[in-house]
Amino acid sequence: MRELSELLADSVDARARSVAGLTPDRDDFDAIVATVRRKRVVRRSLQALAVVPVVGGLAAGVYLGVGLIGDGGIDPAAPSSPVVTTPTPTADAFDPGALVTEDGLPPFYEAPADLLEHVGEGWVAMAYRPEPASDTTGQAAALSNQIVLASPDGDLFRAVELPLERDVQVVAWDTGETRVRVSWPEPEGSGRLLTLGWVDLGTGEVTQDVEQFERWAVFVGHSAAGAELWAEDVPDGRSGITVWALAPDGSRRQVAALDSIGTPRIDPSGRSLLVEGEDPTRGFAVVDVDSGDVREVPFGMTGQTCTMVGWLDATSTAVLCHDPVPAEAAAMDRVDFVAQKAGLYRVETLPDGEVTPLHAFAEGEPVPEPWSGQWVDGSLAFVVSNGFPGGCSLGVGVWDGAAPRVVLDGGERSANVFWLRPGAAGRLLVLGSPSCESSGVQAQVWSVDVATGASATLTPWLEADPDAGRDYWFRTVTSMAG
Amino acid sequence: MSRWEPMLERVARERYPRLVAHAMLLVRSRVEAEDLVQEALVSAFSGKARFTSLAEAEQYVRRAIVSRFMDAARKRSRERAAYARHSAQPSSPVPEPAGDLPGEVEAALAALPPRERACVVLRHVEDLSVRDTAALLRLSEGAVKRYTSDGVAALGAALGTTTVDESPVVTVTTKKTSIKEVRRA
Repeated sequence: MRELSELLADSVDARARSVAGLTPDRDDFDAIVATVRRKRVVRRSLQALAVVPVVGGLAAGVYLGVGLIGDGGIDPAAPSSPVVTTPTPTADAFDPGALVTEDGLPPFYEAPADLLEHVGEGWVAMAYRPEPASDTTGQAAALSNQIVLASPDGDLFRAVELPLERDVQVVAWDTGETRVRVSWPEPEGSGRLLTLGWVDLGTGEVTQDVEQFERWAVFVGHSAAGAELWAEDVPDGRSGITVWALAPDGSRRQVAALDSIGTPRIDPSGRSLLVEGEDPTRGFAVVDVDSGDVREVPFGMTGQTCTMVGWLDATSTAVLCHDPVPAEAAAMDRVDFVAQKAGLYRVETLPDGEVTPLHAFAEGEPVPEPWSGQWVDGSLAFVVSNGFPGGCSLGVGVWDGAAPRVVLDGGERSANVFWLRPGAAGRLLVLGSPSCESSGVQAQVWSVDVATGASATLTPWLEADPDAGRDYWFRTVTSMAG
Repeated sequence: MSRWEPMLERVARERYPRLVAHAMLLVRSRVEAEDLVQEALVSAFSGKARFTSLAEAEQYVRRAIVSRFMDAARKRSRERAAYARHSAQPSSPVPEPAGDLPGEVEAALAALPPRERACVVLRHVEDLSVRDTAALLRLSEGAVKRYTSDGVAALGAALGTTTVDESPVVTVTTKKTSIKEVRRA
């Protein structure tokens, strides 16, 4: 009798010999490269928009892009929170009219004429574009396209209906303004990839910027001076970005040209950008928004493997370090954070800054994903790592100086990815999708009180309806800001 | 050219036959196997992981092959569940084994349910732990033990193989599917 593992290995060897010399044909390989390029662009934009802080009252959005496509093969087990409040539609201070039920949307109100007079802190603007899909026939056309405003209690108001052909994404919104900053991708062959513009929430008018980017760009955040910071791809598919500052008067200034393949994170004061270092395994770099100066900052932890989590304040960062994975373990194995003595460290970004241990992770405690940190009202919110590089996330966690804790559980199958952004009054906005790797399906938006862990669902999952050919929803809410 | 492209080219040029061979443990036709490998290449190189060596990239793609296979199996399962409301669907016939070793092994694996197949491949080909297999396939550790044990037993009957150091199954094994899985089906 033969041992199973040996037999399987021999079988693989024999099969590999029988197909020796096989390679993907040129068309297939070109398609693989093109698909990877597109997905990496979208992933980068998601990472960028996930962690931009509020500066000057204008909050940045999260964009669940069209590139997150896939088979939807993951069971959309809704993430659950330790404490969940189910908002009940209420008519607070004005008459919202009757709840409307429409295919592809959760129950909502048509925005009354005076809605914007009642909008304030805690409201969230979302682009909502329901696109059903079938396992057999694939993605169907969008049923509708709109900008929806969510009240802090989870009431939804349709503010603007948009044409189906314009896939508008909410980039940023100051709840005191009647306009929302948007962008939308342009079709191939139209001369540019992206258009920046505004949508007037009162009139529905869509306007475009006079000056546009030549290449794909992602919104980084706002500078201390109130300028929009954008990271534009460099030409010819090369690696790197150019950071631009778009002033409120429409003028633009190049901040820095960077070789980094990551997208910058703006610090809470709007004065510095955090980017990957020349050697990301050894440190990171900080870019001065005013001068464009770039300074390399080492992690400063000898003998440990370190990755950036995010800003802690205007001059220090949170860094995760752990012992190297043993050589006998495969390089891509799950990291056992406790066995590898994982810890969270404060690394100051100023010259001669100090490295201070903050927390040593114990068994069962949530550990941050690299570059997922979001500082909210004195606490560090982060996406919880499952230990695999590039894998799915386990949920959303918070560290506030004590033991890290989970505030949004990814569910038993851990099949969720999350994007975070700060909300008003100590709340964290979370956009989550039950997807993993390249798969992607509809998203849901939560508002989480980081102090108590209580969460409210702003937009719920939509139920599938296989009998109607809707095995899953390919997209629903696609971006948000508030 | 971006940093990931040379590595993707090397994997496709130098490791493609081995990747296809791994995929053929999960699907029977070479065309299906190539599709699976290409999906896995897209998945691996679109993700956050960075590969510093060819071996590292190949290993990651091999695991992505199993992950993508399971995603597709779940999708087909949902599809069949929808059709089953209208008509009983015959299960896929198990192909006749070819006379050579890979043909026999692949045929024996093809007779296993997809989850058992995936668990056996990850545990006995990729040498992943139960915990890591569970994380990769988004299953509970108990389910991984059960599927692996059932799969190994079936392969033992079909191929006359033995195993060493197999984790004992400690969960209740009177049912092959959990309550949640019954609901999904």
